[in-house]
Amino acid sequence: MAYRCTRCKRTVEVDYEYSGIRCPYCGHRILMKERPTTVKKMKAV
Amino acid sequence: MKVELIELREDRIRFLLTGATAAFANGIRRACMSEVPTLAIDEIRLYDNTSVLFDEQISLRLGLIPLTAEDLDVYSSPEDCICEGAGCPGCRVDFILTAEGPKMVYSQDVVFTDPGVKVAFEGIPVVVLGEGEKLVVEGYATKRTGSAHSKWQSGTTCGYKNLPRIDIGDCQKCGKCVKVCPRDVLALDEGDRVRVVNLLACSLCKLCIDECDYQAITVTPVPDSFVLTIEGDGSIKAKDLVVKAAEEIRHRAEMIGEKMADLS
Repeated sequence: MAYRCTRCKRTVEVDYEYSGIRCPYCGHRILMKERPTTVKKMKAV
Repeated sequence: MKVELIELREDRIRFLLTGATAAFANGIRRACMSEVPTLAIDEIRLYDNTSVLFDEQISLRLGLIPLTAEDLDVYSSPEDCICEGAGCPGCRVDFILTAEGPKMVYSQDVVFTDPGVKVAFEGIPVVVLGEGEKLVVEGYATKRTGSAHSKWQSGTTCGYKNLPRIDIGDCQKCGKCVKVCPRDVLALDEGDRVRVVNLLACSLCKLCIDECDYQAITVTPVPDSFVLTIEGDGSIKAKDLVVKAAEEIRHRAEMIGEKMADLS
């Protein structure tokens, strides 16, 4: 699962072995989940 | 039964129905709201949405846009279609909406594959896109009735009231009733006598009865006369809306007749 660091804007992979979430490039701890590339189908209600 | 037109606009009709029961007037009102079919966006497929709104909010806003069709009869509802609800050009109208910021996305940006199908009102705001934000949606509209969901409701504000009958007896010319009336139904004539000038505006609030110290006014509803006000959402003309509602009532009555005939 790809995330994006909110500070350095780089795409990062989360290391689940390591306890805690942190950007490996800048050390920032707020990451955003990217929108999946799949088509989203929903009822218009 | 007698029908007398009071007001006719593209989106609104007002008429007086005399010699009918309250049940019939209510039947017309209910049929206008929930039994006249119209088109509305049913399902969407989101390819991209980087706007500030959630996908679900975009889909709700698209669903609520009223749509008009040059000939609505060419489409059938998915339940009655030969494809049995699987989806075919006979029961679906595809659309596409693509936009890139900075701009405001309006209802007219929704483009349908059938050129006869359009949005009823251009300029309904959907979402504001900032610099670099994108919205790519496609989907389809179907024809259903208001009983399925209110987005398919072509009659929006539909109501009726009894026609009032205002009798003025021994008037003492004090003019209190004229002042208290919130709808300017009463007025003083040259001889300072109270007379009814705008009967249809009366909402039967009976404030004039309470205000009159001499009990000179009586306001009673005429039991078999109704003022119907039918307003549509713009997808269909108000006149056609009432006609289609009446046709629907007749169709249902005929169906009952046929069923009863089969029983005997």
